[in-house]
Amino acid sequence: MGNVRLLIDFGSTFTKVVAVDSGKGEVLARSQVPSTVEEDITIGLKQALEKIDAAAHTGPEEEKEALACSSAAGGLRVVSIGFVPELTVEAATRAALGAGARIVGCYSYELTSRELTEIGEISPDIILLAGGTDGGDKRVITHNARMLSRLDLRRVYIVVAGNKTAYDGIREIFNTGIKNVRFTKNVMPEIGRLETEHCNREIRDIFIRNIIEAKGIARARAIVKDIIMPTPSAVLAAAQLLAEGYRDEEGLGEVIVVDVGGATTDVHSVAAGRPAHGDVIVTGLPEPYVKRTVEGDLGVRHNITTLVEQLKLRGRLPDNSYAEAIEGLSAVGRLPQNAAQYSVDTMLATVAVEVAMERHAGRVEIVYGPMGEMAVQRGKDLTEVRHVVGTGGPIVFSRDPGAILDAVLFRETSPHILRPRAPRFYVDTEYILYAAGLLAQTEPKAALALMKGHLTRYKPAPRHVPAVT
Amino acid sequence: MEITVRNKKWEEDRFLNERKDVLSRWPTGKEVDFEEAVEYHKGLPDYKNFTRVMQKLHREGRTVIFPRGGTPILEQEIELNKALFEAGLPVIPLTPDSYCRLGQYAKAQQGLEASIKAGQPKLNGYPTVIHGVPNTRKVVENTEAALNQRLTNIGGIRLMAEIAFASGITAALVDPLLTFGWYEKKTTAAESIEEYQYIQRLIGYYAERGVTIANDTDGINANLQFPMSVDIASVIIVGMLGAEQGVKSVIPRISMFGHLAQDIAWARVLRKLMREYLDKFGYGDVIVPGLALDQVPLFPHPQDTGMSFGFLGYSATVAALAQGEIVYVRTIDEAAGIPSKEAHAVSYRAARFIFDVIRAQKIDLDIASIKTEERITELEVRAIMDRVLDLGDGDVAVGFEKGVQTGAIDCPLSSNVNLKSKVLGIRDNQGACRYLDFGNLPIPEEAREFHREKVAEREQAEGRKMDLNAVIQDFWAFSKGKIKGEPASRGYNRPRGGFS
Amino acid sequence: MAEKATIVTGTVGQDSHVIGIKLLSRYLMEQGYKVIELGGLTPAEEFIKVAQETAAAAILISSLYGMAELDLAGFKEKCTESGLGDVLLYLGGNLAVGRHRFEDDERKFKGMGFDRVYPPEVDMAIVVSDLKNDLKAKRQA
Repeated sequence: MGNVRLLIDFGSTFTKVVAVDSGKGEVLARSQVPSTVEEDITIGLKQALEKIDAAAHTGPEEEKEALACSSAAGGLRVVSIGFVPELTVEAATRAALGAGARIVGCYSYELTSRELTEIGEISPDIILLAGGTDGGDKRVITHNARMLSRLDLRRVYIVVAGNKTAYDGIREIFNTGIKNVRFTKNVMPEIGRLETEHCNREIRDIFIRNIIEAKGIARARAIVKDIIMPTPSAVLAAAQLLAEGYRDEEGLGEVIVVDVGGATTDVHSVAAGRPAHGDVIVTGLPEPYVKRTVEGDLGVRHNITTLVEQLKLRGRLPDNSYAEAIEGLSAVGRLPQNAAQYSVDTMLATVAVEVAMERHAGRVEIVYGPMGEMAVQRGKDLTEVRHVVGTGGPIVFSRDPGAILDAVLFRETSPHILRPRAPRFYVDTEYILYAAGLLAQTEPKAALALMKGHLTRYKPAPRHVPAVT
Repeated sequence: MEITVRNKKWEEDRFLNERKDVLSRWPTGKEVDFEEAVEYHKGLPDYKNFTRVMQKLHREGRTVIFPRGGTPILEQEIELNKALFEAGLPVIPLTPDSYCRLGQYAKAQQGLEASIKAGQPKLNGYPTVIHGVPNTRKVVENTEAALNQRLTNIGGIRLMAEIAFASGITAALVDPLLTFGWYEKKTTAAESIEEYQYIQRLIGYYAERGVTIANDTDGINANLQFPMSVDIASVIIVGMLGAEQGVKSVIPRISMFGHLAQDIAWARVLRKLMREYLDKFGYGDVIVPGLALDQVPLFPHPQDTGMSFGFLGYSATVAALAQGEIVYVRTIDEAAGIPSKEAHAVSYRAARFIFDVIRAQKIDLDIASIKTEERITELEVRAIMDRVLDLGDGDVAVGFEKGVQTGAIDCPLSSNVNLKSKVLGIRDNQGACRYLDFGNLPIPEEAREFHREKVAEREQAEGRKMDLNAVIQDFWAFSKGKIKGEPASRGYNRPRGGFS
Repeated sequence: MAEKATIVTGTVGQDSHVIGIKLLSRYLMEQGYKVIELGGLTPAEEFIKVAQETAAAAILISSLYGMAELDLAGFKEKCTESGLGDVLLYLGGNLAVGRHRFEDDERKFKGMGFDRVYPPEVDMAIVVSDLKNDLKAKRQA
């Protein structure tokens, strides 16, 4: 095997392949074909590979070594269950998001029969069951396990990540179908401490070993080496590598990646998020250094109505002159066709990014204490993050990606939202983030070089920069 | 746990080794130039040397207020000191902010920057370490009074002392036992002593070059009515710890608790025994230039200006009668917020009136009740000192730590978990502080008998048992302008203040 | 008579005022309760851990510097998650900064899940009698 690596993303609408020269950190060729996961995933894969082989002079030898990630067939669909919403439910949800999942349901306290039916209808890939600190409450998690044991356990995996002192009882409850029930460490072993790593690993393991099998994605193994992670995990891995660097190859420092898609808008931050200024009290759950949030109501195709409302609310869509263009974009998979549609698409992506960033960033509020004013921070302070990467079709293909990325910026009009003040912008023009994340698993140095060489530095036009003092 | 601390002068090597580390903890450490500082100190006028000012006050038979001070912005600090000096105060404290005290210098720096940006204090004191030598020397240059760097807590004070002394400040509150009993929750006495020995050794290092820096000491302190014998013993012990490291000037402080005879007696016993123990243990060349008195730590309701004046008047009067050189007094509205300039001025004028009138009479109270309190207190302090020396085999550092462990050193309701807090205090029928629970304190039988009788006297007079309820009532009484709690008129003891 | 309950006491947050809570602790001990004193400067989480460890029946928290709302945000929920849903929560002290009415504080903190809320100068006898009644009611429930 030479230096050429093939990296594949089985997306929900497209199968994408990138060929890179890992020695030079260069992109040799890219291809993209509509996904065929519904009938046979290998059909589309073969088509995409044919195009690549022609352009990059690759063949079966490279294909056998190719690595893939997948968000096809609905991605990794997870229902998270905990006890108290702000505590173990939140902890479980964060753990699942960090493992690259899509959260398709969230439940707290004792599950009701009705909620159980709902979960059955959602038919998630994995149910993440948390609840109670270690040695804390075990009543609720035990009740919920008993409820879940009524589901058809051949069709769903259950990851138990709650109060360990309840595990023996839960094992007994699940004694049939125990194969599909996995026990891992508590996501919240004590109040004020999150431990999501073991849970992440377990989820990803189930994904690789079982879920892609069930979805027919594993068939691709006949052609390529392996599908090693969900696509969001690949993006997270890329972001982390870009921030931290590898050995003597320096990273950029703290990074935010904004990924706008048809169904969701995701924000990833690789940043400690500690207060940029002294005398700020940090409260709430501890924030993960690598944090991913997924906004399921901010997809630029699925949620056009919501986004249009947001635009109107923010006074950016004063009249109905764009109604036709909006109508034209309202179906999944539609790409903008004319100038009006391009404008609308940019507007939709802008507001999606703005809202997603508002939600991802931490907030600070002023309270009055014995020593006078005190600042209390919840969530991550991202004001000092210097690098923001935009990815996803609406940004990559926009005629004005800078306008979209400007939406992440700190605003003097809402200074309590701790968004980046003066970052540099980069655009993932060649769609290499997922590829870099995959490559990072075996050749991190090459993956880093790939990103450094192929993320396009975008210099914002001065008109877009709000006054920052 | 093995006790490693010793009351033994640090070898110069050890001191200089730790000094390297101390001076490297913040960039301003580099500004410390010891030889230059020695020369600077030698060039200071007498009125900027805390020890000499105290000696002068003593010679002239004067009492003055030791105010509160310390604000983050340099210009405002200088301004404040000018105002205090113009109000007639020859001694001024430099109180640092909490971050510097705890060694969180980066936060202190941010707080200082924020203060400067806002033009008003965002820190609760003067961040000595962040200002460094050049700025702090500006404070010294522009203050016509003698300055005293307050050092409390653990973590940030060694470097603070270095910067303060290098800047020309001539006194500091250096008291491991105050920090142990009052500021720290888990630190042991031994750990605190070791932390502060460095500073006392530093003062000694200056003394070797002929520069006198005063070490004032507050002792372990009580925050509830309680006889002051343990406190007095601990003040003496801090004096001895300092003297061993080379300190040449010790200023003891004592708290009042509102009973005139006791307050005066305690001051007298402390002054006398501090001298005696220093001499007895070979520290005859250490001077005790003066005595500080502190107001009753149970202060009146802040909003009531009248009571605040009364409280200030009491403190000033007792300090004058006890012939103390300085007295810690709060301004009349300090508890209600940051005092205004006018509140400062009016408070000091009121106190000065009392000082001038009383001290001019050169009165030396020779009253039986004071004599009795002196005798009993002396008996107790000697017994506590004996026990500490015994436990430590002649070493007061070891003995104090062991005393804490065995309860021979104790104080009521302490915030430090290492203290047993088995003891309790109560007022007697005249309002003097007595033991209700002796705990394991080595109080001699004669004194115990005396306290028991006094408590019994009140029990008889009030027809009730002195118990925890009464302790709580006493605790609240002083802030309501009464020396002792009164039994509830409804015939039902209603202990109040469970969440105070 | 059943063994007296274990009570955890302390002052929460960056607050070092301990006199009141120490007196109350001592008073509770004299009444026969087993009291675990955490003293001043106690993080909210420490109350929970100690209560779990000692199977406490009640947590008595003091706060005098006006920051209770911040220090105790989500405290009841944290207790619930930690299996302490049945533990009595008492709070007392200066519960807000500046001018404030006790009635408002009481409403607010009861809304946050505290069973009893007291002003700083409360009769300790009342606290103990409330505690006695509440514990009894809990046993019977």
